[in-house]
Amino acid sequence: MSKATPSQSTPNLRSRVVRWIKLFRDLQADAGRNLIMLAAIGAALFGVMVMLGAYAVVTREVRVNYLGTNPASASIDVDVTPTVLELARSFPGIAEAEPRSVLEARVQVNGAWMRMLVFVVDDFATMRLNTFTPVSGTWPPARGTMLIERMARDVIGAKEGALVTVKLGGNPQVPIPVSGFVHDTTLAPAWQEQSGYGYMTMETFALLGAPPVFEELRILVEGSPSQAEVDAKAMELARALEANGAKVHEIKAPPLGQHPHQRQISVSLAMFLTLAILSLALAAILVAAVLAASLARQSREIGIMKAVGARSTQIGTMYLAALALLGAAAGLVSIPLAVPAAVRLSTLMGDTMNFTITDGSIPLWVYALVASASVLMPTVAGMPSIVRASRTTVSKALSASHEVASPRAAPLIGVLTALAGRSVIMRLAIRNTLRRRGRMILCVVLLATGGALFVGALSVREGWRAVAATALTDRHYDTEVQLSEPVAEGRLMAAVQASGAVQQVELWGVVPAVIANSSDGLDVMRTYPDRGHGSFRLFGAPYDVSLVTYPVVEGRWLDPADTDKVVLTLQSHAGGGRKVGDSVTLLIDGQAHELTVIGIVREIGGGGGYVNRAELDRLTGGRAGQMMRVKFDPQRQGALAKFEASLSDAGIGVERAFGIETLYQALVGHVEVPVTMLVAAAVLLATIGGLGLASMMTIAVVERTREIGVMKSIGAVPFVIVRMIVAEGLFTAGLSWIVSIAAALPIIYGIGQLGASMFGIPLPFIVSLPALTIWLGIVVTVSIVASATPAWRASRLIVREALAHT
Amino acid sequence: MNMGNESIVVRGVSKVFETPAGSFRALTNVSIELKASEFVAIVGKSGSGKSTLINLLTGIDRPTIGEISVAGETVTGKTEAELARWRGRNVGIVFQFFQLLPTLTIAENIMLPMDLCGTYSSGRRERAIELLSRVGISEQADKFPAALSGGQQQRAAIARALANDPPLLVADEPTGNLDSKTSSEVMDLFRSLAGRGITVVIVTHERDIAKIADRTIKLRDGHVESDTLAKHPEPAE
Repeated sequence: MSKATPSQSTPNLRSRVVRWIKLFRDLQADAGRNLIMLAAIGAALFGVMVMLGAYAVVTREVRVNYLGTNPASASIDVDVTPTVLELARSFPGIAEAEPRSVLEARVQVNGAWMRMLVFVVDDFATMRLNTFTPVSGTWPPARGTMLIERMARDVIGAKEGALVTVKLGGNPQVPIPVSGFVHDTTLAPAWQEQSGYGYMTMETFALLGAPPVFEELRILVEGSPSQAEVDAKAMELARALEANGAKVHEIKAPPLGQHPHQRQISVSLAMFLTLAILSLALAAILVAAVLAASLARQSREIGIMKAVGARSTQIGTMYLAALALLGAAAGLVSIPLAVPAAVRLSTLMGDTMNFTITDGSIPLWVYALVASASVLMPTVAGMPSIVRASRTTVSKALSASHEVASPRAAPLIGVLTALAGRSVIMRLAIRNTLRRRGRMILCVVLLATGGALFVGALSVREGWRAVAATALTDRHYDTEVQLSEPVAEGRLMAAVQASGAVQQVELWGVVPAVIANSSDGLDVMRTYPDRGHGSFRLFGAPYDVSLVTYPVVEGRWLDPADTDKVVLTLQSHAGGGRKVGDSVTLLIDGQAHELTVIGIVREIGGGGGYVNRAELDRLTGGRAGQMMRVKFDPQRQGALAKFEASLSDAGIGVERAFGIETLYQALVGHVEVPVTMLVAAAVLLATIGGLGLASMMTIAVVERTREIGVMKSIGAVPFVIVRMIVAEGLFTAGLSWIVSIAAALPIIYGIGQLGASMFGIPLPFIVSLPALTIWLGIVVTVSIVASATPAWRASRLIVREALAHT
Repeated sequence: MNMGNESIVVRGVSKVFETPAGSFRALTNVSIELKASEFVAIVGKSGSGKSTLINLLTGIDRPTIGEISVAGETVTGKTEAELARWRGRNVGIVFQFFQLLPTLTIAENIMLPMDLCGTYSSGRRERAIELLSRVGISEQADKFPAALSGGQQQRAAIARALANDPPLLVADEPTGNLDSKTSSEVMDLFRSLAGRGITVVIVTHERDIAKIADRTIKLRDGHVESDTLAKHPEPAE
């Protein structure tokens, strides 16, 4: 008869506890390596949480911000008389109709004139369409005062209560007190556009010397119309207005319900989210590889556990639990750290795109998703090696050898070894790196992905800069000056001469136009009501153009004899898929004109069409705007100011003056944000890659302890061991660098092609040498840092113990 | 005994290991003097202190007290780096499990000590091949260790131990992993090396070692139990 045990359940319970004690002690014993793994998953989770959090907040907030302004469905350029307004308000299917004017004025900043968009509002108190919100100061602005958009505050140096000097065309400049600041989320940030934004009543606007007439009718289409329904309704109303004797110049309908920058924001965030997920996947694979190495070293212990009765599932569960624990710990550390970073990134994007984060809270689903990823990614990645290790038989596990296999004599190894020259230590280092090929490939992939992004991003920037630079080389003038009203050429040239600052000048004509899809004189432009992107201008070129030389891509440039002929720029050509010989209908001030395309030119930082100046006068009935392209005398200091003063003295109004340096800066500024974010993603990957390398080197040193002992016993001094291990790290880094160059090439090409479809101009295929050099410096530093500790540890190994290592 | 001809002098050496279970005295007051060209076998049961003694001779470990000098140079008192450098030039070590580095070819394994000590800089490979022919496996020079049999690997390990022409060759159970035929071939190789002026010290369990060794030192519990000179005549060169 058997004796009763103290408790039947105790042995089972205790055995379970013992298992977990073993697990805990194993984790503790490899604390250094586990911390590295923790840091690797943590860094990747941080990236994912920041990107996903920012994505969730920004997409929500952009929508909230934009829809909160109650954007008009469309805007019709027409003189808004009470009759017009009444007709629109009572028109079937129109929910709201409001008058508004948006005009280009100029504001004085530090003695120079800067472009300023002036928004004239009928009634600040009852305004319902395209609203903006007061930030500070007096609302609504009193008569004779104006509000300034908050982001324009610093750009024009405005202060509440202080005066800003505004000038509309050739009218006298008027000092206007700033009553306060507003936030208008539909506008691109003032610093990006290098423009001021002012808001005033019609009464105040009249002080600038302009006729008190609203030029735009903004409408909101009833219900939830589609884009086509909006377009149709706007056209219908426009025709009805024309039937009533009003003159409709243009119809503009922005993409429905979309912030001007929404697509840009979503695409860039989604791209960076993809990169963060990629880094998490790579980190998980890294953890799996480190785990596989640990399992190999633990195979005897696994054998012993199985010999004393452990089932495969029990062993598997233990190691999976360890991974889950590691992932959860990483999540616990990095998620809280990532939250403020995500909010910060959202705010930064808000500042870049001019929207306000009204609610910075990250939705719960983001937390849930990242928390589950933190546990699931490492366990899923580690599953195969855990299953393999836990299913092994006792005899196999107990007899497993920890020796690392010799390399096969592959030709590649031969070639790489040849790099080492005569140094046996260097050959050893290179061959050691190639011993655990899977691990080495993982480290190389991690570092090379980062490198490819880094080199790709900076190369694309260099390519874009080269493109932007052609904006300077194809233009041989300094400043483009658009006059506010027509001036007789003789009077104009006399004023130009009088300034004594001009070396060369060309007089151009310019008029806003629309490439029409219909030919009845009315069409809808897909542009926002901020006079921003998407506008098309038709230029009247002088006969003897010499201040611009745009490269002709197809066909030819204008001849003085050309009539009904137009030269298009690549962008407008690419957009419509038009070829030389095609005819194109241009709507100018509501009138349709059919012209034949005779050439396509490449113009960076502009877009539109060119006809002869006489032709433009014919098309517009002599009502085209005047524009001067001016090359200043390089000897004259303050030439621009002298020039403007001379025009002003002659009573000639300037609507805008735009220097080509400003154009270049604006072009260059376009790619800074995505480039910075790509570089940040590259740094994240380099960090994970570095951590990966560090853990791989640590494992390698442990696995090769006995070999290192042998080396020391036959005369290797600690420095030689350090040199060997660091060389192994450097070799991996070097390989990753070479791979990253190869991987960067398709990235550069791909983004270049994307540029072609977005801007109509393929970016030149440039591989940035400084980027390659900097990245080499980064990976070399990363590899030295990553291998320093393992190398130091290896050099300190006690020979006797190292030789006894199993 | 010719006192001027000692290759190795071990004087009053004790070694104590501090372990979590308490102090463990591996060697107690051991003093021996070995002559140049002597073929010395160190025997004894497991735990008698054999491996500790040769670890001290090779500078792999340091005595707790006492002094060791090899070829007139005091080993004790050197730093780790100095010891490594000294070992590379003065001691050749042969291990039971051969311990060839698996990522280096046989020839490269032999060139490694030369590389580490900066010796034979103009003809390392030639010397490696020459040493390999001396141990009879020159045709294996460009193979990796895994491609060789145990006996061939041990010959390669001996060749590596000779790389820098050391005055002292130490082998720890060099035949422990070999069959009896190969064992006796390897032993003969050691014998012939001793005949060429190298002091050869081997730790072994081979029963017949006394027949070929010049001298057999038997250790027991960290003490020298017996120190016996062989009666066989020294083989001619």
